[in-house]
Amino acid sequence: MGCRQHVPVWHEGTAKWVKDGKLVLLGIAQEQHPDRCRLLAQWKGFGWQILQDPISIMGSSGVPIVVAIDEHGIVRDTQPRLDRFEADFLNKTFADDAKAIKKVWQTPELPAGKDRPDFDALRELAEKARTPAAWRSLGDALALWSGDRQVNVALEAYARALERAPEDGATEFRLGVCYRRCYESASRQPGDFQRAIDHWGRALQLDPNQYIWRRRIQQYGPRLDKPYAFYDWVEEAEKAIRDRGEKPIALAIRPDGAEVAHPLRSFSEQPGEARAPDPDGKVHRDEMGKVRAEVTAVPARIRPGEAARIHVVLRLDAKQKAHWNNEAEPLRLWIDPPPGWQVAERLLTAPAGPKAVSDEIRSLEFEIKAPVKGTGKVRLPAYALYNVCDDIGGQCLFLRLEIPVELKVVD
Amino acid sequence: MSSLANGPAPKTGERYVGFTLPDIETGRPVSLSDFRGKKVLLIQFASW
Repeated sequence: MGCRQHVPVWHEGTAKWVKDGKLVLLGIAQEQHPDRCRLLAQWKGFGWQILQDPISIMGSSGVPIVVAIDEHGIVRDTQPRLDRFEADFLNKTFADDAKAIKKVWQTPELPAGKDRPDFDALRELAEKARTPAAWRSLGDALALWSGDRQVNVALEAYARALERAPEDGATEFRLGVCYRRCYESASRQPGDFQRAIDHWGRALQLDPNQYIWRRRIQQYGPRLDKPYAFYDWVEEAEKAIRDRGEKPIALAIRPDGAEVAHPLRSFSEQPGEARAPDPDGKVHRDEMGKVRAEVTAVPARIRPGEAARIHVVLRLDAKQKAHWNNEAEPLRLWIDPPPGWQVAERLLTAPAGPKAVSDEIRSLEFEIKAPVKGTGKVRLPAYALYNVCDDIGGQCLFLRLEIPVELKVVD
Repeated sequence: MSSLANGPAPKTGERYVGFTLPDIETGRPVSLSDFRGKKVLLIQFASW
């Protein structure tokens, strides 16, 4: 049973005990965007406290995990059963008889009375100790407690930890979390998303049993590799919340594309013959760079016969005050796979906004499957055609941008 | 959708490692020790 089914069972099954003060429910959200857990909680009416752990500092390798902890903080059941929960746990009085344990993980400590770790003290400690653990602690503190404000400092701290302990999968994973945050922030740099995928991939290579790490890649990955649609429930939840007269929590980043795509069990190319929109390459190239493309392959490396999901993001150059011209034909992306490669759709179209002009970031995603034989670095030709104007020269142009997609096929 | 937890999973009879994490709504710190004296059902989950 999955989280969205499993957790409401515990919520409903324990509601009376929570109301009577016999039990506290405490949640920990194990995902990149914890506000999505907030929305789920609002939809399902969870009234209990939920904490956030986007970097998976709790060290859990899968979810859901349900643990019964007694009044002394001692674990009494790691797989409790609801039908025996009252008799086996709630109605018992336990002695404070814990066995000594070795700490395998810990969250950053907060100074007494403070609501944040002392970042300066942690940095000082890391610079003095120069151990991977000290640098990772600084990274953890910043990643958990400073939001996006100091994400670049967290990246630096994790990078220093990795220099000293290059086989540390947890640090690789956390670097990926921070790079994805960068990608979603206003201070994003080209390649941030690909760096996130690369670090998550390396983390998983180091520990292939980490399902939370694996799910983070699958969230953005090809449908062939998806166990389920990750966020197809969001619209249903928002509608249900609105229908009962409430306002749904606004998500910082709305899931779309790969995040709401349903899994496929076999790769399917779209029937019909799509025609190349500029087969002879006659359309003028965007030599002024009015639009810039960023390509991310998820996963970064595939085996022969496997699929990848390619994310193409097109951004307007703000310095040239460029904007989309929505009164002309929409932006198109053409993919020209080499022999043996399969593409689900060769021609993609980005919907234009309702206004005559707009300046939003445009995203297109497609899936591609490698031939069953052959390895190496492959460059797949693709190009975009779009109508773009600028406010400096006042020109409106129909342009073409080459967008080579690079993929690594490994054994 | 889920997998078994095969990382450093808590074991019955052991004290749960103390932790402090931000509340999902307020961002304020919450520790497991805040609930000492109460029985707690700790649920780690994701919305996917």
